[in-house]
Amino acid sequence: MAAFRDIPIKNKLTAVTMLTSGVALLLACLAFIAYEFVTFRGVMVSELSSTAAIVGDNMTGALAFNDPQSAEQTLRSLNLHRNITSAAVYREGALFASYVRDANAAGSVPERAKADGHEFRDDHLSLFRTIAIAGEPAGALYIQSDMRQLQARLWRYWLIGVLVLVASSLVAFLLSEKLQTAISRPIFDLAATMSRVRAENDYSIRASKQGEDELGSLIDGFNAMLDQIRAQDQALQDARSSLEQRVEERTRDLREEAAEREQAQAELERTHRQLLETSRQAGMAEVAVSVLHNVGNVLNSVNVSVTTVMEQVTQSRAQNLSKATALIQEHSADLGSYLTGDARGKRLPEYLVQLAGHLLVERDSMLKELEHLRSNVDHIKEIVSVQQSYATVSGLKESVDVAALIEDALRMNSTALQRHEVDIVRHFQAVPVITTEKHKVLQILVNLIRNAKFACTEARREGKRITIGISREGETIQVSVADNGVGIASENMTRIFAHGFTTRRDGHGFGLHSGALAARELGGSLRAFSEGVGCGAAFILELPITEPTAALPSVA
Amino acid sequence: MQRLLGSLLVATAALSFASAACAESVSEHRVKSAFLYNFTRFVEWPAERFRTPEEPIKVGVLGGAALRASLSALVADRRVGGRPILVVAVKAPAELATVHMLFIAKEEHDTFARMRPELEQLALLTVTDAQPCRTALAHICFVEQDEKLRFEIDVGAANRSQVRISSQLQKLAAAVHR
Repeated sequence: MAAFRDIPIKNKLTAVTMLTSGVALLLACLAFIAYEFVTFRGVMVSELSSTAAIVGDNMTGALAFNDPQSAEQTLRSLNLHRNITSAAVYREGALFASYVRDANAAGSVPERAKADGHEFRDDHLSLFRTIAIAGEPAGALYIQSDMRQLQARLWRYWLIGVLVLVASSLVAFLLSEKLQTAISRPIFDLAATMSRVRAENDYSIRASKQGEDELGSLIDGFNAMLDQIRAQDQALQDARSSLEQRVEERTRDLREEAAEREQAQAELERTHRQLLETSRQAGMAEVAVSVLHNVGNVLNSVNVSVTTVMEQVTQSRAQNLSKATALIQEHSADLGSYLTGDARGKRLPEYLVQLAGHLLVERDSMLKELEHLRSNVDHIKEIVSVQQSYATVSGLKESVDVAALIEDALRMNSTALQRHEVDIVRHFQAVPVITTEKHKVLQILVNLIRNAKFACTEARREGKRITIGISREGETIQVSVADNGVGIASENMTRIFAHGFTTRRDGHGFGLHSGALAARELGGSLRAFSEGVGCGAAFILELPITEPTAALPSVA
Repeated sequence: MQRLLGSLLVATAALSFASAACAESVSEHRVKSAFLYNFTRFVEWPAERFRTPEEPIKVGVLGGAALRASLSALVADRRVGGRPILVVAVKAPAELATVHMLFIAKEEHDTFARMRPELEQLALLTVTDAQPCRTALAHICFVEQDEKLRFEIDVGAANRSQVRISSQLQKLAAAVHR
């Protein structure tokens, strides 16, 4: 079939025509021959019947007068019929006389008569027929014919069929050669036009139309297509010429855009720098707030102590002593008699003894209170001195003992931690001293511990605990601050380091953001972990042991 | 019926006329009866000789009482072309008007010769066993040939009498005169 597809349309049309007409003719011939075959069998039967009728009529005398010789003579006349191979006459159902064309096939006639009728068998037609004399049955005739006639006839039909087929195919071929040009010619023309268009690249060439049939509309379509191509060609050329201009414009635009973007970039960097500065200041503020908070707490205690001492001094029995001394002074002349004779004078010494006891108690109490006061003042001094030690210029790198730094951070939060009864668990490994900006690390740690404390208090549970660990991972130190507080919802995990994000009522959402920024600036990182709400949270601050080589941390 | 006829015919065929010269035997009568019966089957009379389709074929016998009896027995319940066969004895020419076939025995030849002119106008088939056949002037006459009973036909005479004798019968005849 692929071969058929590739042959020229002219040959294809011829082939289709020839095949169609050939098949139609063949079918007609076949039908005709089949019809002949069927009808000729009928014809054969009727011919043989009439022969049998004639022979039977000629047999009546022989039968009536019981003359087998005459019967055989009559039968022999059948040798004129070349298709009759054998015949026989029966009287009383028994063989009476017989005839066989070919002596070698003797005995091929049935021994007994059968009912009237015919039968096709083994390429032979055999027939039984009753012989009647004057309307009364007198015997039977058997006659057998071969099919040579039918076969000869069929052969003749085949021959005629083949001849007709060949002749009509020839005529059909010649006709189709002439007629198919009506279809193939416009297609050839169209193909030739197409080739010319392609070869000369000239879209102004048009195919000529010969009729209004499908081929006509195909050619119209082709021409319309050429029109379109031409129009598109034109449009394309126009577009090409205008494109250069547009490219130029666009390049200019892009250049401007690039300049703008550069400007924006510079703006962004400036903003970023500002932000960094702000966050640093904010970090310092955080430490300051922490310090003030702690100092405020201690000042409370100081205030209480002072008030207590003041009250004690105010209510002191010291003035009772002055009253007693005034009485003694008044009776200094007769002091002896007053102390022994006067009713009040007699009780005075006892009173003085009691008073002295009271005063001693008061003094002890006040001393204790003052001792308390002094310890508080010392605490304040300590806090302030710690703050002073960090309130140095930023950017200064020094050797830092991380464990000591954690203790400082804890101390800054100690009051709050004690008040809220938060346990501190330490898992400190021995780690080398690191070189970093001390106050930034402290800011981060103070913030982390404060957050942990808030998480614990918010959880309102027994056994509030903050676990702080130090460990070494390769060339980094990892400080972990874990709490068993409220935890972090998974949807907030990505946002907690964002600027302005907070879950606390009074939070400003700056701590973790600036902490993470600071950690990056120090060449480390700050990461958060939580199993979810109610499962606590852990923050891990990673810091390089040695000074980071990068002078400036990159900022996302 | 068919079987009976068949066996009779077979029997007649088996018989020979070894004693043909002798007085006629019973079997000779039977053979001649069979012949006479068969003649009726191969002969056509003009339609006006029968009034109805069932009207019997009337066979007249002149003399030969023995043969008449034999023929009567043979055709008793046979039909030819749907007609029964009636065997009658004939004595006078007047009786012949309704007869279709007439058999004339040897001894009645002279009687028949006298009757003949009156029979010219009748469509009547005449059969005789008088010898020699030709001079007997009947349509069909029996002859003996090779010790077998055969017959000769005068087709010309029969045609003149408007009696058609089938070619099948002519085929079997020892001689056909025209």
